[in-house]
Amino acid sequence: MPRLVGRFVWLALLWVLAACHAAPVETPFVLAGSLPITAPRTAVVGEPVVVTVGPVAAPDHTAVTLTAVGSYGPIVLRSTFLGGSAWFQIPPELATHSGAVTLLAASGSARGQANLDLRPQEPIEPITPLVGARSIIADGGHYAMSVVVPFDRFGNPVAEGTMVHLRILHPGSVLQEIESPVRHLLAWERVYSRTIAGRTLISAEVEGQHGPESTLEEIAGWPVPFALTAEPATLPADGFQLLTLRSDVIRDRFGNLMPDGTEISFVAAGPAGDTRIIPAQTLDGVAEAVMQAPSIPGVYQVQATVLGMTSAPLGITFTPGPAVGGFPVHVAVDSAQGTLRLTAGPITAVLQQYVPDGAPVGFTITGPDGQMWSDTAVTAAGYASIEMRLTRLTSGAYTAVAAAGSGRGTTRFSVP
Amino acid sequence: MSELPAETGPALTPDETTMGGNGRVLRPNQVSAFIARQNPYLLAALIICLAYHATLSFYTYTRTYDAFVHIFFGDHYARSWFDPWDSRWYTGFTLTSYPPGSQQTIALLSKLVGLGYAFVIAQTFALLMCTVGIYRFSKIWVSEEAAGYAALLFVFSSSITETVHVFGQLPTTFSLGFLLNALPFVYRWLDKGSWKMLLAAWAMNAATTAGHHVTTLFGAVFFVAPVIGLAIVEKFRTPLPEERTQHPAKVTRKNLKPLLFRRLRRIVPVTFRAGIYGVGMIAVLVLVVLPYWLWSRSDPITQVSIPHASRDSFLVNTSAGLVFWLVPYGVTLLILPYVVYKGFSTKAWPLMLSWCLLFFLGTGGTTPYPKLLLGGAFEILTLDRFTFWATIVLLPFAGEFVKSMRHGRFARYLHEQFGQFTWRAAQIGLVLSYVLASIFVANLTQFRRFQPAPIDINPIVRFMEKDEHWRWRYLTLGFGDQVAWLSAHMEANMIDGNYHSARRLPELTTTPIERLEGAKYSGIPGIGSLQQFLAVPDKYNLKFVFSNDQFYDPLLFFSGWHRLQRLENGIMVWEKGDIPPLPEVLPRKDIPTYQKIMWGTVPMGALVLGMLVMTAVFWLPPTQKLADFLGLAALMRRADALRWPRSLFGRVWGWLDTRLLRWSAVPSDDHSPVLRWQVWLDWIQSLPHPRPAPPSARLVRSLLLLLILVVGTAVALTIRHRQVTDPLHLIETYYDDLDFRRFRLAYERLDPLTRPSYDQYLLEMSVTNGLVASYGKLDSVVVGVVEREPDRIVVEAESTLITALDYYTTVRQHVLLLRDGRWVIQPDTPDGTIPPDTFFRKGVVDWYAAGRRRVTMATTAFGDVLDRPELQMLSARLVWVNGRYSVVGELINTDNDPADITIAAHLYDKDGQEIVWYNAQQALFHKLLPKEVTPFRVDFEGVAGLTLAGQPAPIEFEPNAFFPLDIQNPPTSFAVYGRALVTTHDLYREVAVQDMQTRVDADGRIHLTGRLHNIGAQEATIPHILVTLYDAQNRVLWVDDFYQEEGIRPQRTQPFDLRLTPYQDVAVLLDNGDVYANILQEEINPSVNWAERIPLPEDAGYASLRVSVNYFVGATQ
Repeated sequence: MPRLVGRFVWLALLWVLAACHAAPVETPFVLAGSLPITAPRTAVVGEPVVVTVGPVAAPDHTAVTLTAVGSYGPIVLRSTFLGGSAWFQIPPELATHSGAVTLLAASGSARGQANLDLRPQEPIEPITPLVGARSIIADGGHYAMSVVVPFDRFGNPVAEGTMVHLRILHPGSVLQEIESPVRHLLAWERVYSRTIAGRTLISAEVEGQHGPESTLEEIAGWPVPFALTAEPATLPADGFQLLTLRSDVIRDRFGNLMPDGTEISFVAAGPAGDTRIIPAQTLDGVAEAVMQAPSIPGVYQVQATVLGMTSAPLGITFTPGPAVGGFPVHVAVDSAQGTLRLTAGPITAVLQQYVPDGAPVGFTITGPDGQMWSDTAVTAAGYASIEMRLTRLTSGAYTAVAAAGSGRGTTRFSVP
Repeated sequence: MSELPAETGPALTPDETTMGGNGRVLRPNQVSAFIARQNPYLLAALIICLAYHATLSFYTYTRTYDAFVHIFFGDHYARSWFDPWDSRWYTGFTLTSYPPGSQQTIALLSKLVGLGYAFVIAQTFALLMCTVGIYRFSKIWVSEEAAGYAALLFVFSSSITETVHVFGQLPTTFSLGFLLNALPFVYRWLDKGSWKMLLAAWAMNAATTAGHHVTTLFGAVFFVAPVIGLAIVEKFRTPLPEERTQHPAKVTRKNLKPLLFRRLRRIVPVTFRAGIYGVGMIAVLVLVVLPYWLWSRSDPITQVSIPHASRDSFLVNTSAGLVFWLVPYGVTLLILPYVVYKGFSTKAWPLMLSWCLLFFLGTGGTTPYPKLLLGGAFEILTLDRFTFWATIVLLPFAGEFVKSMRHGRFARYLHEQFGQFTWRAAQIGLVLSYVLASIFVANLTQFRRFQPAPIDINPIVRFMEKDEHWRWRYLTLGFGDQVAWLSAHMEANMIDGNYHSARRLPELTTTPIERLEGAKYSGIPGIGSLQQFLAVPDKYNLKFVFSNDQFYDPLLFFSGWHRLQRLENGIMVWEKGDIPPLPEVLPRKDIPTYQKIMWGTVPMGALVLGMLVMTAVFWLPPTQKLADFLGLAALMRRADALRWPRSLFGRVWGWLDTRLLRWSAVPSDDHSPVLRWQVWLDWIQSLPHPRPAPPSARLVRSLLLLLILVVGTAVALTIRHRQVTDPLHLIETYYDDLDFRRFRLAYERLDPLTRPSYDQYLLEMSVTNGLVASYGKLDSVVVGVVEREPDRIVVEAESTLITALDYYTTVRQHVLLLRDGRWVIQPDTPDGTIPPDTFFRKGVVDWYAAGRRRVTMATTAFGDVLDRPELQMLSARLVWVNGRYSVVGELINTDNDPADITIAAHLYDKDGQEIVWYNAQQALFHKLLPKEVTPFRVDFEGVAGLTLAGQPAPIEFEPNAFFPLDIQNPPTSFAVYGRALVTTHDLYREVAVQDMQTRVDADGRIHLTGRLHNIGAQEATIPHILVTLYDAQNRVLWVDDFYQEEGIRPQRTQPFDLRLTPYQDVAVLLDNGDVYANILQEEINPSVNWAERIPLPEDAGYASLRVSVNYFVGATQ
């Protein structure tokens, strides 16, 4: 065994010694200094760009690299010198992004640098104008901004100074044309409103290229004072019937209609210090709402308001109602059920017709010892009734009064 | 000590079935013979189990509580086996929070049969394992025949039926099967010291843990400990061969020491084996689900405990008693006396002790003692599992009862004392009751639905896939446990989930609700939690709510959500505008790779190992044959024959055993007879045994028994009848009928002489709409007598209804009349008002956002995105009212388009650090018409989680809990942000306010009265009144908001009577803050007097008020 180990040791030593013997190697050529680069100062994206490196005193087949550092990162191309020069062609598919490109050539320790400006191609369709805000007040003072960013076929913004032609058709067929140069990649212009509300169309054209329109709403500004009307002009105070409140056509100071859906409030102040707020929305510039007749007669002052702008007041008179005059009150005793029923009616209104179903009728019963009970019933087909338990009534004479608006009915009865 | 008779203490042998008896390994040609030798009752039980439970499961699993949760987990493993993180629920959670065995089984099977059927197959497998396990477990305690009966009883047990077909629990049954099958191995290891049995027991414990670690944990106490106890007691009582045979009658000073050492020597080996097994079992418990333990250590559960009815007093909450006590025990309650007698009079008393403890713990909060015993765990555990285990532990004794009833002492007693007919009738009656109870329980979900009707999830899945809706989170309401089924079919994320232990958001963990979508079942605290999510959905990227329960509609609507569309399956999609989408990369809490690998391999490996042990009888013989063929068997035999050097331990034990034997020598002069220690057995046996009764006496006794049954039934029926006919109960039932929409029953309780026709009644009911009538759920009703006459009673019913917005209490009087000996309710007088116009017309403005594109599946184009409407903030203030910070103010939509408003207010401290932010929720008109003004009030609510720190866990459930802001430094500045999108939804403004008057009460409160008048053409289902209160400069001081309980039909009016917040209660903290809206130049001067502002008297404090009304339209949508 030791002998075997010894042989391995000797073999290992021989291998190490053999490895130490190196064959003579020829020293490679290393280029030093600067590398001249010949390249166009400008080129158009999407077209091949030829770049020449040299001439330098380099043997043929000496390696050289060209790095093009553009907006979206570097591209590395490789070639060799032939006759002291190397030729590169940046392929079109690698030169699609416009902007400044730095060309760096390198071979050995030699370096060279040049600049190349890749310019966008001509703009292509669609040329899309963007508009914001999309609605402005038509008062000649508010404005929106229209922005256009034309692109070439590679998606590059077109060259600075490219003229964008904006056509703006305001309401009233007023055409406005603006020439706006591309600055910092885009063209923008303020679009001021005119004084007529409506839809404004905006289009853009660049070097014969077109695109879709954009729209801008020019809307009415704050309203000017307006008047109200009521139909019918008066109603009985029956707490039931409706009248229609209507505004004039609400316009701004330039005569534009308030947009549909604008919130208007009708505010009515009653004779008893009560207030009503009735919401409405404009439709074709007119706000309309219904108002229910109150239960108390008197004059209501109505105004319509939108954002503090208030209409002229309108007075509406509500005459007494629903019932007028007297009406009978009947008493019926049902001993079996132990009840006493008071029925008022027929309760009639101004035309001697039944008062509307559901009209409240208040009953007040005064007992022999002055004790009072109150109850309310609603009318059905001109009559209203209440029921009382006989067990709750003491013996003696009672007076019952029924009241419905301005109408009254009275009866007397005895409980044995 | 003499051997007990077979009836009271059978000589039992541990299970030897799996290994072919005595550990022998079966040859293949012996397999058929092996099957033929099996207990016929066991075979019948297996076949019936397969036919009964497997078939039923196909129909019942969709209506159970838990099935879908396990299916969801299974779906997760099917999607990504080794990645336990799932972002679909909550804000992401790890599945290492639950042992994966059963769910990974579903995942594997789902590749073949789909998720639903995979669950059914896994459940069936678990039940078959349990059936075998019950048989083998019972054989430890009772005779083989009784064990066979126990297996049959298991199949029809109401407890297991409820667990499987009502609760849908899979891990419980899955792990129980392995646990029960582990116990015979444990027993054999303790008894014989066979290392193979020990390894088999550990393998089965590993499989149990893979299924459910809690079963292993508690199983060690309630199942394993009795087995160990039995083994020790048996060894304690069994003399060793070397022992001398003296058995002294009395313990004297002389023989005390030898007797002690004798017993000690008998039990030392078995105790030592128990220790070895215990250490291994703990190691298995830790290792198999190690990532779970690491998770629970690093991320302990600190959340408000979810109220569970199993912790209630079953005497108070009788429904809980029914579900968690009466149903699980079922018919076995009748044999409890026998069970207790049998348990304590045989060697099975350790198991009986275990049963007693389980029975006691299973009574929940009926007595305070379970809580005292369990301590903090009481609030975390669901105690029904103790009852479930108690019913399992009971089965061996029940099997023994069947045996006794068939041909044992009990059968003899019945036969002799009551006759053969009664004996047979009792047998048939018990069997029928047992089976029918099981069938009834299995179909319980048919009789009383615990889940909403099945929902077709496909439209929802399609909706979420459309237009990149999956980029936002969603929430479901009213889906029940089907939410897990839905989640399993989508990759979209939801804010809620169906596994509350994994919740981490403070808004969820600090509330006593299991799921947000079950908020209404937890009262106001639950609703409050839901409100937090609906109020600030932008915080959670929550954009869509799928609602299957209109109860939540008011809350959604008044929180600024709008209805988007109703899907084909009837589910309403609610949307909130202006919600940012989820970030591309969601945060996740990762675990180390080794844990992921463990989670994906170890539990499933444990299951495979367990199954190998269980099926050894089938694969071992051919394996041995192969080994024989290869010559490996001979090699193994040689290895077995090797005499291993005696270990140090062996030498120590030999030395100790020798001494124990020497010390246990009883003096030779003591030859007293054996003294029985179970003295009560002597007492029982000394009782006089009844003689066989003559035929006439049997007949009389049978008739008496029948009479008792008939009278008992009659008494029960009479009591029930009296309850039903009680006038107060009548009112309660009437309200209950109305609440559950049982209109026919409610109608039948009305006075037949004066009630309208049924159609008219329905019609009158149908026009009564509103928050309480249509969106309320009856919480309680208290009825009291106001006036009583012999045949007429006036009662007052105070009913409390819970709505999504608040509790509402209404008090109504009803007149009850006695008609033909039965109380009936006098019908209410119907609304007699009529509308003013016969036909009504009204011009309206409508909006529609069509976009300008062809029909396409692509996402919304930039060109179709409308400009944000311009908003101007008129005023904003920070105020302090009733202990809460609020920012109040006013805002106008100056734009031409309707706006969907979002207002957020932020509070800052003196260092400019943000304290809290919140959105305006209900005190705001979220949808504004052009030029419309809305007041707003932002109520700051503390993120409840902040108040959790330092509190002991578990946190007590606190009804009506309010979590105030945890502010160290008072706010010194605030900012309000208003933003809007163009909307076309819910722009209802057709309710006028009339006859409005104010007065100031003596307490300084302003009383605002008036009537609302619906001037539109559709019903205002839930009117909402906002009252803006101003100072003299027309700046907002406070905003009150009120909901009307009833809806208003078109052209109808409804009175209101509001008490406003007193001026004295409003403390202005900051008069001005930073307000941000998108208008460039302010258009409105807010200080101008508006006609809508109603001046108030000086003593009101406020200068004026403004009333505005919006409303929710429910029925027509």
